[in-house]
Amino acid sequence: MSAAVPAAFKAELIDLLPSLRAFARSLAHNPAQADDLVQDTLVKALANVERFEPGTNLRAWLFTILRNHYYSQLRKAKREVEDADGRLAARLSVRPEQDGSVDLEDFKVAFQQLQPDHREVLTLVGASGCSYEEAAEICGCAVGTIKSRVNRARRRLSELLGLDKDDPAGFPETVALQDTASV
Amino acid sequence: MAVRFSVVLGVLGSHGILPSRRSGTNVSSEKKFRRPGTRLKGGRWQLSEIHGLGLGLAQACLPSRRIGKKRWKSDMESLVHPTKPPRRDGKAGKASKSGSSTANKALITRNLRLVYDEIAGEQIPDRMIELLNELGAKEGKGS
Repeated sequence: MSAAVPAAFKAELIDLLPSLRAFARSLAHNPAQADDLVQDTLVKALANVERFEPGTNLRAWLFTILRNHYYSQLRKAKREVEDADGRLAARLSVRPEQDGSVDLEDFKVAFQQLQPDHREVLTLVGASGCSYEEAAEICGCAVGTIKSRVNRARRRLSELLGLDKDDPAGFPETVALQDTASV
Repeated sequence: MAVRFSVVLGVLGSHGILPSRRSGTNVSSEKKFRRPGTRLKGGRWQLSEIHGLGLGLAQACLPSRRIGKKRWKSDMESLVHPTKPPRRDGKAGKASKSGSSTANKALITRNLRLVYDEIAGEQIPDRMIELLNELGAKEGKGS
């Protein structure tokens, strides 16, 4: 018999839905698949609400469920990168703009060419604000593994974006950004 | 070219840079030791045109007193291998790349957050909220 869903748990769950969708979108190849992942995650989370310890990191718990569900689906389907309209192939040689910025769409395309484990660590550590420890807990690996994976992912993304080929004079806008050292 | 080389040697010799041939030296004994890299007895060098200008100048730059077995190799290596400058700071190579890698990191982080915020800012599909309400109600009834 399943336990009742506490109101606070449900409220926090709703608050975390945007982050959950963003993380799912980084793993899945299209929005529809990402939303399906989120829905499946919600079902699993509510079915196993008694396993969640109140006061602990709900976001990490949900991210872990989503991630595990994604990889189990991936193993079953053994899906390759879909590129039906050739959009990815057409944008393989992505070059940075004159002012050092990168077109966001080009960035998305390059990002989707990364391996799933690279995409997930970049999203967790670089975008969603997770610490290395939190990301390690979600991915079920050591903190050192996360750090090295982030470095490799960043390096690979730089190659795909063509950032290593050019060495622009400067990124006045980006240099001014505070690097949180997460990525 | 041989003529010019000999002129250069002559100029260097006249200024006392190159060790000069000892006067009255036995020619046959000089010929015996006149091989590249071979040191004559007494510490005097007899430069050969075969050495080439670079090596000759290298020797010329070194005080004749310091030329010895121990220092010869290290001195010559630093001059013969200009592509390998002496390592003063092991981090010098890394420092030269830090500027562009930091900028790349910042660029990637910025774009990651832009993409993330773009998705997080989207309206939550109604079916998800309905699903939550439905499941929450079912679980509540089941307890």
